[in-house]
Amino acid sequence: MPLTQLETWYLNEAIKGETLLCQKLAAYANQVQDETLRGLIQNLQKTCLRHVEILASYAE
Amino acid sequence: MNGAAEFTVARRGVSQDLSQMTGSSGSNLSDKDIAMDILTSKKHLANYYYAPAILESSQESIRSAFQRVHSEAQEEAKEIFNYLNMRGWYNVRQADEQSVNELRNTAMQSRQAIQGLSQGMGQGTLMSGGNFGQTTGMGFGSTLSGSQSHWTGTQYGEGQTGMGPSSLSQGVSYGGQPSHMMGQSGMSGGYQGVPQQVNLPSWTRGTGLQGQQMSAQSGQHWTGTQYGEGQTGMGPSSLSQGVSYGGQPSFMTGGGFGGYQAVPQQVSLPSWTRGAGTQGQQLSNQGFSSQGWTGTQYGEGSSGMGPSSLSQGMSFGGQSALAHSGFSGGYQGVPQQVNLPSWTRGTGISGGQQGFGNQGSSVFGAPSGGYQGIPQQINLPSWTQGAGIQGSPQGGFGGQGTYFQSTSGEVNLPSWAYGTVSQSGGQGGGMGFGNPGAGRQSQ
Repeated sequence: MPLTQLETWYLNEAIKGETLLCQKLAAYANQVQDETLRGLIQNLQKTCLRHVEILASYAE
Repeated sequence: MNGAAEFTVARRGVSQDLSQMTGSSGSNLSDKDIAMDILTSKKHLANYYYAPAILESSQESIRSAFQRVHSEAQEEAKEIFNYLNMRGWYNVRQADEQSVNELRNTAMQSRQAIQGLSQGMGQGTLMSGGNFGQTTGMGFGSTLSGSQSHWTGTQYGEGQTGMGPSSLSQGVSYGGQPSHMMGQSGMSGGYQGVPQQVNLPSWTRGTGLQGQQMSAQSGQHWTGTQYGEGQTGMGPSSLSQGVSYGGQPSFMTGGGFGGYQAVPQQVSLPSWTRGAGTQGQQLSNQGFSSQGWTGTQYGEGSSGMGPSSLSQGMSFGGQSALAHSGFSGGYQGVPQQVNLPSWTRGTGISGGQQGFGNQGSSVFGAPSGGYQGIPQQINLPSWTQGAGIQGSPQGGFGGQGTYFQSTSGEVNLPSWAYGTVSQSGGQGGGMGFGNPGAGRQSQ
């Protein structure tokens, strides 16, 4: 089933947003001092990457 | 399709960027800054992309995908919040006593209204006395008993300017949910206060979703004002789901027979809602002509960007409230000036309004009987300019029009509804003045 205009738009924006977040998380993981936060960020990274994969799969 | 290519590029970009990230950005962000930024990002994604995307997706698989990522984003936002909160970097403000009391009142009044609906959907004819010859409406028996006459003052539902945890976001409205301000009184009593001046500038631009409004019957006092100030910051992720954004307006109706004994010298209501409102059903002032100025409602909205889904199914731009002013019984007050400029310019869709229904901030004067007051001046400039669709005003004073009657003084009704009005219901009870342009009658 073809994507609707709105679905396309939201997918596009969501992918870009998640991508930016992934980039920030990658940078933050090396900057934070607190190990607890570092671990939290690393978990977030995994989720973020997975989100991009999920969302991007609908574009294929 | 072109979108597919973009997505592919985006995915490739993620991998490349991540692999190239070494962490030597040289920024001076603290752990708190970083955590706050992550939380903000999560909220942004969830609130402005995922939540509306769920609502906008037509394909179930895509919808499920958005639901999944949205749910996870909420969970992660909560984790970040907990991290910040435990370290004292994100403190939540406790509600003050006044807000809690107002909430209790709201809950109590809402229960009463609902109880009245369930018990007293009598839909009878509430014509008693010679003052209400023409109006027929629905009766809500239980709410008609008792006589409470008081000026309810103002209610502020101040919105959140910061960021809230995502866990707060479900099932609640953010940004000031105004409460009901309804006259619970019966047929007697009087508004005895003397509000000299009531200025209510800078109104709402927010959104409100209103399903069904049930006003109490025959409130006979001026109910004051309600503020539902919207959210200026970023909201929790689930704001856009099932909740109102930026102040949900409520009803402010005044009805009853009692003597309006107050002397409101000046009542100014400038700059009203500019948004569109969707209103489900309004049940107000059934059969009773309200005799007090019912005050105002503020539903100030979100100042940021809202997800596009907000505009579908949810009203955007502040849902206008009803301001019913009816004169019946002994209206003994002397309202020197009532200014109601710049009303709603948005579009309004109201399903079935009964009574004095009008979507776009209506002020209905429904005089009948002994209006003993001396309204020196009643100015109602610049009314609804948007298109209004009104379902079926049943009975009462349905329609766009307004009916003002005074025994003395001056009644000015300039520049009324400019927009198109589709009115299927017409004037109810032969009493209303359905056409835009207001009926004017002076004795």
